[in-house]
Amino acid sequence: MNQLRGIIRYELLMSWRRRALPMLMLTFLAALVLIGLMIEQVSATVDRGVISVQVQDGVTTITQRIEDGSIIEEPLDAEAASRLPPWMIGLDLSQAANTIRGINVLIPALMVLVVGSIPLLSDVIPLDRQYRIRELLDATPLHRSLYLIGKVLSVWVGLLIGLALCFGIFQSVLYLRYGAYDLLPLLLDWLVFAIPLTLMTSFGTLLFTSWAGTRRVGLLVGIGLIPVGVYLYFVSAMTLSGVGRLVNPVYGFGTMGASLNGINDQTIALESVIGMLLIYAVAFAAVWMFGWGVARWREAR
Amino acid sequence: MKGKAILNHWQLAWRRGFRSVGWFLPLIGAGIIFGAILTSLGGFQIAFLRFNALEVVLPLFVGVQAALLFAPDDEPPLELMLAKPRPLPWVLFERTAALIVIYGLIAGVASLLVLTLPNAESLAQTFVRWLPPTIGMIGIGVWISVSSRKASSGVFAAVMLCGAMAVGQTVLLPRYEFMSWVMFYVQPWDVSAERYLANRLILTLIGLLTFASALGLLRDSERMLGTNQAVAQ
Amino acid sequence: MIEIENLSKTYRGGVKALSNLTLNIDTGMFGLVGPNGAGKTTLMRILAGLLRPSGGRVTAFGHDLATYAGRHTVKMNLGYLPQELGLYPNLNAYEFLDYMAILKGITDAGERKRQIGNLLETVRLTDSAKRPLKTYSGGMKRRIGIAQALLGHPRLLIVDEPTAGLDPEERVRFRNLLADMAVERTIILSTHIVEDISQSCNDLAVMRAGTVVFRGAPADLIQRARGHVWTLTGQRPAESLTLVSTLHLQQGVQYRVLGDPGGDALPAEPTLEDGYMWLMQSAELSKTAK
Repeated sequence: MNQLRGIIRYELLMSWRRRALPMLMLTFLAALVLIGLMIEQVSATVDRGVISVQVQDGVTTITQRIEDGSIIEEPLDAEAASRLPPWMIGLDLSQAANTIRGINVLIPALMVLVVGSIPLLSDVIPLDRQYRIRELLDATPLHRSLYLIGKVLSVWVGLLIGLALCFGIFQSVLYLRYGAYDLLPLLLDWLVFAIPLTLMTSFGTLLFTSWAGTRRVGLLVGIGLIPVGVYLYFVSAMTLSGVGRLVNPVYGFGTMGASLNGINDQTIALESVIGMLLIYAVAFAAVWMFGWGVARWREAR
Repeated sequence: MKGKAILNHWQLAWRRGFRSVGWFLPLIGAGIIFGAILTSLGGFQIAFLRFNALEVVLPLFVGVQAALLFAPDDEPPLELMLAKPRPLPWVLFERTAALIVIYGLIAGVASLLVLTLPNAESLAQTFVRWLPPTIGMIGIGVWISVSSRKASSGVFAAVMLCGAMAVGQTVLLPRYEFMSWVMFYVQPWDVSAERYLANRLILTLIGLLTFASALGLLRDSERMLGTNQAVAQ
Repeated sequence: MIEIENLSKTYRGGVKALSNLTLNIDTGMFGLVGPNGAGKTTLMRILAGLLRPSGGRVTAFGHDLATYAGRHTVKMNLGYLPQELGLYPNLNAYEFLDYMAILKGITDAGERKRQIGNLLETVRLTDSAKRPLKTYSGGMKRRIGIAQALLGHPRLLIVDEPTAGLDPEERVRFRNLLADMAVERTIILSTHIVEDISQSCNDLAVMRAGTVVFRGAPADLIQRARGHVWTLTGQRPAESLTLVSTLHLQQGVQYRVLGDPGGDALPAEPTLEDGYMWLMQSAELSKTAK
């Protein structure tokens, strides 16, 4: 454990000094801002329409913002009230709209993080060979698996710290710009979609570039991995980014330009989220075994 | 005569230049470009983008390759190169020339193929579409790799920039019109003819200026060796 | 105690680096010399557990290097300085040594700090300990390499060209340091600088083409050249003789040669370098004769 801690500590320090992690996180923040600006335009439609639906003493009251921006409150007749989806009742739709804005910014910005992380992380292991440090490392009692685990964990810890910082900044900006929002669905998206996707991409990048002898070769392999990262992103976006539905169906996968009128009110089963995370785990194990197999094969040669 | 004398004096290492470009990425780039054109998708649609494959793929691949051409930290014989009478910028010249030859060939053939498609533009218009952003990306890719000393930074920037340009073209341009000055993929019908030509000119200038700046950095041997920050004892 | 029996190593492509090498190395300073491509680095890498032999057996302190457990135990007691030393350019000397100490299994932070402080003092880099390694000169990098090899008080120290790039003063200091440490350790020193061997080793092996062609004390190697070393002044010696040195003096050019020049050549006292050259020449002659 001491060796592992040491590797993580010093690898983190080196990646900080190489500017790889800060560069990646700054790009991610820039993407969040840029996409936020883009979405502001289309989200204007969200600001118009229903703000909340309340039921009191059997009377359904709807609060909405009309064209000129003013807010009106009016009772609904029984037939119109029956057409409203049940999840809408009692929900602060203004708050929900802000949350959807956040989710809509986060999902495309993650694409930037995934694509950007591949070239920036593809040299983590090849650099040891380029710096001719491997001979020294091999002469220590450090097991090769531990070396690889240390490298992966150091990148993961760096990414997790970076993502946590970005999340903090992101939610503060979201609050200051738009007001209150639902933290839980946003946090769920971060935990179930953003973090596993980022960890899986970085893990694959590290393992598949581990055989490269120079940064250049590692980069070339990394470039080849970008389409794989993009594919992984889309698969994850389609399956995991709607995890907010666990909280309320309103937090489904809100595509850009979605308005509250067109919200997908399908619910999501917890099992399907767990199922997808299990697929991640299996893919993780497969990539690990592949990487380990390649390493052993190279050693045997 | 003087030019010939210089060429005779400092031989160009063409083989090394072509090897630094390699075959892997050009082959993939060519595959995508020709694949798109040959399937008669002159107006090839990548997701929500409206541009042709040549205009989208070429600057991206050239930018990535330009970033891989020369980075001080990834050049083991750098000290030897600096000790040679031939100036270091020549290394970048010969490698960039190899890059231009390889991708120029791909782009030239692809441009001719595009002409055979229905509703095709003229050859000059096709060139105006892909050449300025490609020159821009060569300069930017090279400059970032040389100034940051790492090819990974250049590749990262090239990929991010092309991605941002592609997305921004569709989403940001309608809102922030001023961005049309520097957008890679701005279309002739999006802006006035004068603005379009100005955009092409600006992109070309960005490429040439950043390339010149990279050459300037290469002339600073202390900076190349990385000894300008601290002195060894 | 290191025991090497019939060790051979053939690389991919059929390059034979070691062939049937047998050698026993005791506690103390052991010198390894030989021309380029003799197999010294391959032997050192096998002893450090970095390479697997193609045949034969190696044990160090009773641990078989063919097994993982054996290699692991040896690595726990190993200090290794490779010929081509790589360092992390973004770390400073203290951080690098701390990292290496952790990887070597020195778990106690206080102990690490103490050892690193002492070693930085030993290699005279205390003042530069906080500077990034990328700003170090070649000699300073070499000294950091020496310091990392000495971390953890290793029982076995394998150093490949340790003094290359060091100034004369540092070379002498480091030679003495190794000699002091050799009292209770096994130190294998591979070098092309024969003077380093003559000044510090009481036991040495000369390797050539993957085998040991001489094993013994430096004095024995010197003895082999006795009667074959001559100095000539004036005329250039014949091509058949091995020219060891050329010195421009006021009275003319003085040549030091191996062989039998005859004439007015004067016999000279042999050095270890002469012994080594004579041995190589004899080995080449016997190979040609075969």
